[in-house]
Amino acid sequence: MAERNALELQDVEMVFGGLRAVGGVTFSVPEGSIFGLIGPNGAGKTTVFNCVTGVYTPTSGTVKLFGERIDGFEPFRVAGLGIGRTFQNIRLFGALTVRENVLVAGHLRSKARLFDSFFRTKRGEQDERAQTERAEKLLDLFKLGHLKGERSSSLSYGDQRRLEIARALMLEPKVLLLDEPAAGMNSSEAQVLKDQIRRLRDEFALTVVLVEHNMQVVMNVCERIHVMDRGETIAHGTPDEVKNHPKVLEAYLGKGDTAPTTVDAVEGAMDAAYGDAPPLLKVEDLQVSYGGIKAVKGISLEVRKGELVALIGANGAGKTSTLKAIARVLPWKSGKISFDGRDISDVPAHQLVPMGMALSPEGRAIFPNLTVRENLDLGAYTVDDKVKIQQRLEQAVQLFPRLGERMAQLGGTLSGGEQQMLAIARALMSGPKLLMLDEPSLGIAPVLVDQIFEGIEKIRRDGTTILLVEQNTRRALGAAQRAYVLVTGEIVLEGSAKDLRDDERVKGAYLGEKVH
Amino acid sequence: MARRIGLVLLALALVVAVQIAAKAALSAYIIRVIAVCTVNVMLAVALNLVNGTTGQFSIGHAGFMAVGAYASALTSHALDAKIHGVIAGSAGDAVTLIVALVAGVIAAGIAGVLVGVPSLRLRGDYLAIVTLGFGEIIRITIESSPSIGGSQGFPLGYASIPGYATLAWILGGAILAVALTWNLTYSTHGRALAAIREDEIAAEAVGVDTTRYKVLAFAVSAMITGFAGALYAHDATGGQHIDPGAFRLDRSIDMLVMIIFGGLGSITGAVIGGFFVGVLLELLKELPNLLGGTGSIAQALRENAGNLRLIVYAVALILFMLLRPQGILGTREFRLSSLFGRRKAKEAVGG
Repeated sequence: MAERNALELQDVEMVFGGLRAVGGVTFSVPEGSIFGLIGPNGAGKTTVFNCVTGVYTPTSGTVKLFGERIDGFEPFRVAGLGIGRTFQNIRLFGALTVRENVLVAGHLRSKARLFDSFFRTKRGEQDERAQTERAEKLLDLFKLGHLKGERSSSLSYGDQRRLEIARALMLEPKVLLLDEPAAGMNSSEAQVLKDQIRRLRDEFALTVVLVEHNMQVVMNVCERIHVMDRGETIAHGTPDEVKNHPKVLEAYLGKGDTAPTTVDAVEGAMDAAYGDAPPLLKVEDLQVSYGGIKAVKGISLEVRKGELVALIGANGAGKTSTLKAIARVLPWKSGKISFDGRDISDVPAHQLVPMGMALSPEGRAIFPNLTVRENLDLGAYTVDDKVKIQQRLEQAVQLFPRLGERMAQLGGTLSGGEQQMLAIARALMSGPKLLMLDEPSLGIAPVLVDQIFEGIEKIRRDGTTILLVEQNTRRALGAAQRAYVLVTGEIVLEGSAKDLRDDERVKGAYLGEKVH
Repeated sequence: MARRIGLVLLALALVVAVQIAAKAALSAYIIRVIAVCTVNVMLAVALNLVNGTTGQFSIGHAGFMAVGAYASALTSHALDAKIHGVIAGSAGDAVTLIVALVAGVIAAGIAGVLVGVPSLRLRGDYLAIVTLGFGEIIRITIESSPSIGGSQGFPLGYASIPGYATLAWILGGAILAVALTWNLTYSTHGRALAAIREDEIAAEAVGVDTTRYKVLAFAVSAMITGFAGALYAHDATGGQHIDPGAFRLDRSIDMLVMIIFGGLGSITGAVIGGFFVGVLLELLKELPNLLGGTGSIAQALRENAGNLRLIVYAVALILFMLLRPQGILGTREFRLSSLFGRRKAKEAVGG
């Protein structure tokens, strides 16, 4: 039998406003294969999924399903043509029961007309029985049969993931798109998942496309892999070809060529100095859960006064959850956090700011409809002293001269890099002792990343302690004195940034090899 | 099948029994209250289909009620004599009423589609504002149309709408409306509506044409609301006169309160909520009289009964939101079987 392509993408481009989320992606997925779509955070993988499933209409390019164009079709039509999908953040019908969730997807194959529903005709009842039987078979297959009457929102995280797949299969799809099926799973669960994906492909004669961050799963289960970074294709091939591709390594680990050499020179001296400094932030055995999923599994770390500490790890490792828990915007399950010598377990988030803690959140979260100046003023909300506010404004402009040029511009009209600068400057307006930065390089052009990291270095030299969360490992290790490496919610490595820079195990932690 | 016929017979028997019992034992006032409450039930069940089951938000349903009431009243006004010329007596009454009801349902259904198609792209507060605007447009259009009575109401002069809708008709209509809504809600189509409420993107991803289903929900809901409006216009126990003042925003708010009281998404909740609000409003009207007294405060209360009602209503609503925000039943349904729950469950396992 000649090999057919289940899916073909030709030059698919997706532009939002001025942002090119996906720029001309081309690939084909052979029928019956398991295909991986990978790339660092912000690479545009989910956007590609959304272009395929009709959530977005691609700005240009074509999407074909078994040779027929489907780009621009509404999502329900694409579903009807045979593409089932799951979602990155699980989208079940929470108030409906497990069985009802699956039954909704049987809707397209239902023979019941509206009339049958209104008057409970024989045809309607028969159809309902047939659908229910089919749904329950699927539920049994996924070992969810005993939960069929439960509200789907009450299920554990793993059960919800499986229910989502069962629901997608009720469509009788030919192609199944799985968006991060292993997210939140530990390594033994991920192991089981790998086998399940293969079994599903065989039993249901499916073509499977997988977006996944867990490299163990991707490298093991996919036959072909397409790698994206910042909307562009950077590699394509078998797992082995992709694994050692220099561009892939660079995309995942970042470029290190701009690492400031000054850090190296004074490192020894500083290490000694910081060793004695009292800890400004101390986290002991912190655990954070979302519903059933454990995002942070008992980590301990400390940040001493004057230090720049990096918390690194792949997407989904629990870095942001840790920061959010420290900033008290996310409740934690157990553990103790002390800041500046004080237990902050009972301190609400807004009171941490006057105590000297500031967070520049992931995705920047600037106020888009306020001007740069107003954004900065809001950062100084807890400060009464007008002179201090003025001083800090001037410092902010010194730090990031671009902001000075754009004081009267609306925050939302800045470029991503400028927004990041604004977010950092805003956090500094409260005059923090500890500045926490969440992914300051995320989705930002390399030139601006340089400027941002220069700014961070200046902030540290001026005496502000910094806790930096970063996916760009080389950058982070270039700027930091010490670092912690987080893998699926646990700290697997810690030490001086200098040592970790050359540690092969860091690379392993990112590319899915076991850390010993 | 046998069970279904049994249910229909039971419903008919109930309607007849209530009618006889009501005539024999209840005062005209109580019968009037029951009729009002029953119309409320239809309104609540209809709005619940949109706001509860499908998760959209309409506060303009008084507009559909007005369309149903006026369309049916105009129809019966025009055709009453003609139909009686062909079919005499009470059969003629029934035929006239049925024709009028059908006219009301169709007119409201058309209005539902007309409003639904353009506005259902909107969500949440935006949809609410559009529906609110629609309700007001209908009312103001009627007010400024002298040919149908304008703000004086319909019909003009000493004429009245034929009051053919006895309590039995109204009860029967409500049972029909509730049964059809129930069947729709708990079918494959109803699940699609609930899926839209829960997660529109996921619903699309499993093949639900969300636009079509939202319009469907809106149209069915508008038709039932129009049906209720038509029965209200022909209510034998009512004023047999309709005026635009009866279809103000308050009416839409009342409907909203009914389904919130009963529990959004629950049909039996909407039934309970409809009765609850009907009785509550009636009690509040009577409250100053019930309190009695001859002092100046009692006097003032009686004179301002309308305003007092608004205050107590608001307080009741706030208390409800504080103490039981999910409504009486939440999203669950009250089922007789739940009273014998254990046994049924065992039988199901055994059988």
